[in-house]
Amino acid sequence: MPNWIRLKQWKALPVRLRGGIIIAIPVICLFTSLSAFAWLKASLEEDETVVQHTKLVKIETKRLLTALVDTETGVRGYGLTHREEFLAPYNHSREVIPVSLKELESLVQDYPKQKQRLEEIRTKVDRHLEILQQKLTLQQELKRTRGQEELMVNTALLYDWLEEGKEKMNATRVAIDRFAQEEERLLEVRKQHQVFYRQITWIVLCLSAMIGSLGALLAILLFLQLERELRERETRLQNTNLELELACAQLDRFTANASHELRAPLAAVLSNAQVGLMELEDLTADTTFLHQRLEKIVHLTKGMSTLVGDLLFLARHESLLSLNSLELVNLIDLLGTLTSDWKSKARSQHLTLSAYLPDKLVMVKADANLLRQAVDNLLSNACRYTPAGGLIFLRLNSDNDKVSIEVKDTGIGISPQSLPHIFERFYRVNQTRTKAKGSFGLGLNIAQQIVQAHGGQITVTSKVGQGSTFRVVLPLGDETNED
Amino acid sequence: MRILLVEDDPEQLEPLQIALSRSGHIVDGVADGATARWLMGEKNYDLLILDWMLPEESGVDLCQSLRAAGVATPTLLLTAKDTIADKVTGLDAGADDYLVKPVDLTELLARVRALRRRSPLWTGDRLKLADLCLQLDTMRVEWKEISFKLSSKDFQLLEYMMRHPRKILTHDQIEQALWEWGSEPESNAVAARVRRLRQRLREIGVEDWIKSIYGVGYCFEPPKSP
Repeated sequence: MPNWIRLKQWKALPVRLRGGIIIAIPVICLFTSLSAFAWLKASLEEDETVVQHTKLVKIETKRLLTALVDTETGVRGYGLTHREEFLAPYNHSREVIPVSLKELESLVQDYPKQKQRLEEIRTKVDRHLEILQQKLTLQQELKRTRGQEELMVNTALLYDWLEEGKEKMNATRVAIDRFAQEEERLLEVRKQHQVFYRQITWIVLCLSAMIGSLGALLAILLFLQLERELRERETRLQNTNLELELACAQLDRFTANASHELRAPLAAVLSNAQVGLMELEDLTADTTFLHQRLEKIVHLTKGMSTLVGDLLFLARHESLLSLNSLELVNLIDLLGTLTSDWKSKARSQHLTLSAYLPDKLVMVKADANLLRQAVDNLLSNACRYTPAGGLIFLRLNSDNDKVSIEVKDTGIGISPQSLPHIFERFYRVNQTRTKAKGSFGLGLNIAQQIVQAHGGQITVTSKVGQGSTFRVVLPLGDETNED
Repeated sequence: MRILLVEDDPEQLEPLQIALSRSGHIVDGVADGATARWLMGEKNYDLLILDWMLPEESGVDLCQSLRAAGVATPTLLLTAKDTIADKVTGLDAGADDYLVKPVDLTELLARVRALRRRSPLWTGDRLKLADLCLQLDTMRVEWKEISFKLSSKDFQLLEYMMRHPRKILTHDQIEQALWEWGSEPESNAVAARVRRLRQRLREIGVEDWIKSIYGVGYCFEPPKSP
């Protein structure tokens, strides 16, 4: 690939524009050649017409000349012989001449100079014919007044007349010749013009063929270059994809390893503590104290296990969910199951959970397990921070394009200073309070991450002492938009 | 119930083995798939508990190849892998149950009981011979109005004998059935255990059910009513 094609400006152009240019080059070449060719062809046609026209003028001029000569000869013959048959060509020519002149006039209408010349010729011809007519009339007068014997006219006088006619005739002929020459010259000019244009046609054809070929070649080069660039881009994209997949696989491996490494000791601690509890049952002595210690270990280990699970969950679902893992989920079913799960748990803490779900079907595009986890976390928080006797409401509302899931409690509420931070990881509103309730401050962060991964939003409003309301807004899954 | 427990971490294996033994099961604990495979060929197990991440051959691969070979032993996967996809993979590989570590032992024992009920060999949660009844879940022995909880060792022996009544059981057979793999019974260990069980039964008035066959072994038989 020559370097001149690797122009930076060219590369900077968008692919669509470059493709357009590549297609435009041969198309422009083709149209230029076609229009040049058409123009030349039209010009040649015009020349041809003019040449034909000049030829017609020449023929007509010749006819005029012949007719004139005929009149002359006719009159001369009649003058010498007085025979009527010599007048026949004369009479015929007298008819032909005006027709011929008229024809010529119409032919040279576009050429003022020739028209002027034709006018001269006409005057001369008229004059010539007039003289001939005079001669003829005179001779016929003589013949009638003098009778048959004295038919003979003075020969000398007659000769003079004839000579005069001859001069006039010559002048007319010269004029006609000049006219004819002019036409000849015009014809010559036209022919030269025609030849010149023929040559130009060839040159233009050759040039356009050359430019067209060059244009096509350039287009091919540009196209190849574009193709190579697109291929490079594709390779780059594939590489990036590969790297991303690798990173994903790495993350998967990491979470799997972390999961194993963190859970193995927890599992050992938990089972050892529980085996210890079993062994205590066999002892007859008072083991309440030991029992309490071991129970504490079991409890803490379970808490650690939950924390590990939450952290691994967060690590796994850091990014947006891939769309193909989402499916249409019936929110009524999902929330209905959750409600029945949580009703008994709430009751055991002396709380009342009421759910308000619409009668119609509400479908969202979601990962059902994740969404359940998010709402589960909100309900768990509501139960944790609501004193006995309190109320918890789960409400589902659906609009045209979105649904909102609302978890409301009549609990202790969140102070305005803490409100902006509650979705942060490990954030605890109040150290002592949260410790007593046994939470790690990850539940809301997980809920937020799940909701955001679904393209939704989670918001909170709260008043200290009156309760909190968490609202999850999700885009509505539309069946018609599927695929 | 004879259980094969495959777990490569001894810290986790040991308490699990103890907990299961205490519930009356005989547990062979091994640390890798190859040994497990060999033992599967040697003995009949009622339950297989597998860890996923094992050296060389993973628990899932082991489960899959056992299923492919036509082994129908109920299998429980016990693993740190907790994603839905992992659970699906594990269950599709042929496992009957899936538990995520760390597991609460009470839950594990309940699952083991549930799997035993699903076994094709299950004949109910209790064994009954004449008026003597043995509750498998609670390790209690019932005789007339008296109910009594046995220690796991006594329970194992009584269960074995009640499953093979009126048959001569040799010392070797009893050793094979009741001793965990890798543990060496002392020369008079079987006799000592039988003596202890006899003692326990005598306490509730069950006498002379275990007969000694001199030089061979024992026979469990309810005495003919006078």
